[in-house]
Amino acid sequence: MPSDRHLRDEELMLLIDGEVSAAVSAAWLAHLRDCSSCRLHHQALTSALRHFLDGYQDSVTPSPPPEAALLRRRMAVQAHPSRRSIYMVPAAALFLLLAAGLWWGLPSRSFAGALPDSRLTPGYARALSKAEVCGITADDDTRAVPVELARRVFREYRIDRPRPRAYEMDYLISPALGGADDVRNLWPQPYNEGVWNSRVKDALEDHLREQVCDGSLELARVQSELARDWIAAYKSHFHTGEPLAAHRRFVKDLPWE
Amino acid sequence: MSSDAWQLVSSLLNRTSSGAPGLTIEDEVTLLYRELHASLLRYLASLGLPAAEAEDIVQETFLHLFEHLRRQKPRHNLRGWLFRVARNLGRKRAALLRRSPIDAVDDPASLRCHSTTDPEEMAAWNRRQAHLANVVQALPERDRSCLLLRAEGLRYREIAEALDISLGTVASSLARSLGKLDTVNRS
Ligand SMILES: [Zn+2]
Repeated sequence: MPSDRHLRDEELMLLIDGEVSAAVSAAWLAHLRDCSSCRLHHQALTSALRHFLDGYQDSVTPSPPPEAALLRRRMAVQAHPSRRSIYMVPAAALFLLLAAGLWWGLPSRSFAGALPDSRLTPGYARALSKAEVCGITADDDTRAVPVELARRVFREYRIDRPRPRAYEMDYLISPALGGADDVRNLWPQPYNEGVWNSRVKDALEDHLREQVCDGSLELARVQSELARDWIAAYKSHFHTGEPLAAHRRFVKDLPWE
Repeated sequence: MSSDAWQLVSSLLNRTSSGAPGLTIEDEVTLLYRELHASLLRYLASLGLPAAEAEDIVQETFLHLFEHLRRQKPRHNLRGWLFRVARNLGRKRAALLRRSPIDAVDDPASLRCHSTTDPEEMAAWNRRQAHLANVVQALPERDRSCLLLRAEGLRYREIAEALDISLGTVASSLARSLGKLDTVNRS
């Protein structure tokens, strides 16, 4: 049964893109057969769409590759936020701790920061082969630092009463790259402070681990780069002077819907 | 992508009930991320976001999906839902960037040069592409988004969900824009 009126533009679009039921489509097509005015309109829209789609296809440039490893890591942290970040203190408390440190006359290198004090935290790795390191699962990788060990690290850094939410107890050489649960391999990193925070370091570690496991980098070399200066390692591996936007921001706020 | 993986992805996108058997939510999210990554980057570029920011927003979008699936929220029209989340996050980010314009130096996606060796053909092609790009750029944001999402292969119900408009509005927006492009093609 052909439609007894002219088809509107949006109806022609629905027809062209197959967005209507078979019955409606048949009725409209029957109208097109009988109505040259609608037919012309239909043809014009069809060819404009084809031209546009062709032009669009031609204009598409290759996209950068997806960063699936980074996404998986972020999902792991989102699913178990407490597994890695244990000790965090408010910014004000952090400031007080630093002020107290100054008063005690500690050398500034002792303060918790983006880079550890190399005397307290030189970095320490377990004797693992590449195969063993690459067999480490996400669960091992995101395990929490034992509380007693964390307390020892805070003592070493002369941080008396770390309150929740200002620090992340971070491995200098990450467990996923063979780093040990050892006081020599841990330091309190300010959480989310400054651009060189633990999020950025996580991204570097993911990247390095991929390279180690696909054979493009030596495990020992990666471990020593992390131990020496992870920020310098980041800059050289990502060819940038500052953290990439994708690594810098780390969403932890409640999901928006 | 292999045809098996493709089937899996399309079944995830068109599924209305629970997840795929044998897949963790992380696996599902990763599959969809890989599948829609490029499309979402192009869509965000069309909203004026620099490439580095766009990748970050795509990641955030899929972290929202991860949370959405973990809470067993509805799965119908996931593709539309993902573009909608990306659009909201993208607009927020774009507003932030406008407040600190130093960061916003990147040029949003522009049209690529045609890979032909004939200079005359190339010049004609470039003229037409530039013309096309001008018309598309001049469209209101909603019309431009409809057109782009259609070109990315979204169905009308997905575009409607992404842009929070009715299906009829999608159809009339596309007709209006194509009418303008048709005039360009004829001239
Ligand atoms: Zn008619």
